[in-house]
Amino acid sequence: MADAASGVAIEEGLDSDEVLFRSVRPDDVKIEAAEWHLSVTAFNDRNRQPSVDRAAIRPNPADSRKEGSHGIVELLTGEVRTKVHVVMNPGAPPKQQQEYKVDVFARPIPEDNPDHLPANPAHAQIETAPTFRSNEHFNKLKDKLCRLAERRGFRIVPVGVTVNAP
Amino acid sequence: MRYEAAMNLIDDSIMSLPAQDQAIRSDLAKALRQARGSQARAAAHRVGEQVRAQSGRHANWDCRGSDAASEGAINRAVAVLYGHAQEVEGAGLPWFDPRVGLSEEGHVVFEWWYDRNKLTLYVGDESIEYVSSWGPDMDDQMQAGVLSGNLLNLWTWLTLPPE
Repeated sequence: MADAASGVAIEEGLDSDEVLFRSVRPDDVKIEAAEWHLSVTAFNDRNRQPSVDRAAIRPNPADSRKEGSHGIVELLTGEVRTKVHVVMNPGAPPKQQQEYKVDVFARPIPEDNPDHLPANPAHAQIETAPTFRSNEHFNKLKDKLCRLAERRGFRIVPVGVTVNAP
Repeated sequence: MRYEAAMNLIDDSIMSLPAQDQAIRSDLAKALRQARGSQARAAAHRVGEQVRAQSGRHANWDCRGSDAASEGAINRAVAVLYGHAQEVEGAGLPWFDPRVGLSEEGHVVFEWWYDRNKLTLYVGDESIEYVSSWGPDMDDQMQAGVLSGNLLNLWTWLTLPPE
């Protein structure tokens, strides 16, 4: 797809029905009054672009664990994709709000990559356009991702964590 | 939470005492405030130890490139916790322990869940940021910003009974 005005190609995100896996540490889960909650630390990312695996390419969730003790939570691309409106100048009309788009993009990791990461054809990233410039908005995104993951539940429960069946 | 539920039951019982038992009602309410305060102070001490334990985490502790916590962030987080426990005690509000962790920038993260409400604090060297949320919509169900002043307003919001 190309931008109508400039003709420049616009990168499209994954299909809305694509299921995504995220590896989470046992410590990322808080059990309280027989309910479990996922901590925002489960979506920590230095570049504000949390990594996920595409279930369509790596269908066994166990293969997406970063460590053997980790669990796997599930997200749906269509639920992650959203638009966020940030008021740049409080009191300004709504038109002057900055719109951010949150989407999921395929970012396969090839063999022999410069960061020496393990190859991963299923790798994808949750990214924003433009990039969030402050922690405030990324912190909100992590909160949203936790709530979405909690709603869909675990595909694999982390080692040492006991959660009630839904 | 079970402790707090018991406190609430006692609170309800006090309120249901006949009006002529005003002196008894007052004494019981005072005792209840003291019990809550003592619980908050003990919890702040307990959680403070969890915060200090975060200083044992080195850079990339989560295999995702996250920073280690700075000494300044740890000290500030402990101070915030104790200050908050005192506020909660003074206001006679319920206390419950946060989950303690670290963000990708090495800020100490406190998270409290209460029904559908959630309060998250990110305590860094220089600032404290918060997110209060009651659903996944980033525009309409969340507020975020830099914390100025004390936490009491956010705590009151967090612990409001669900509608």
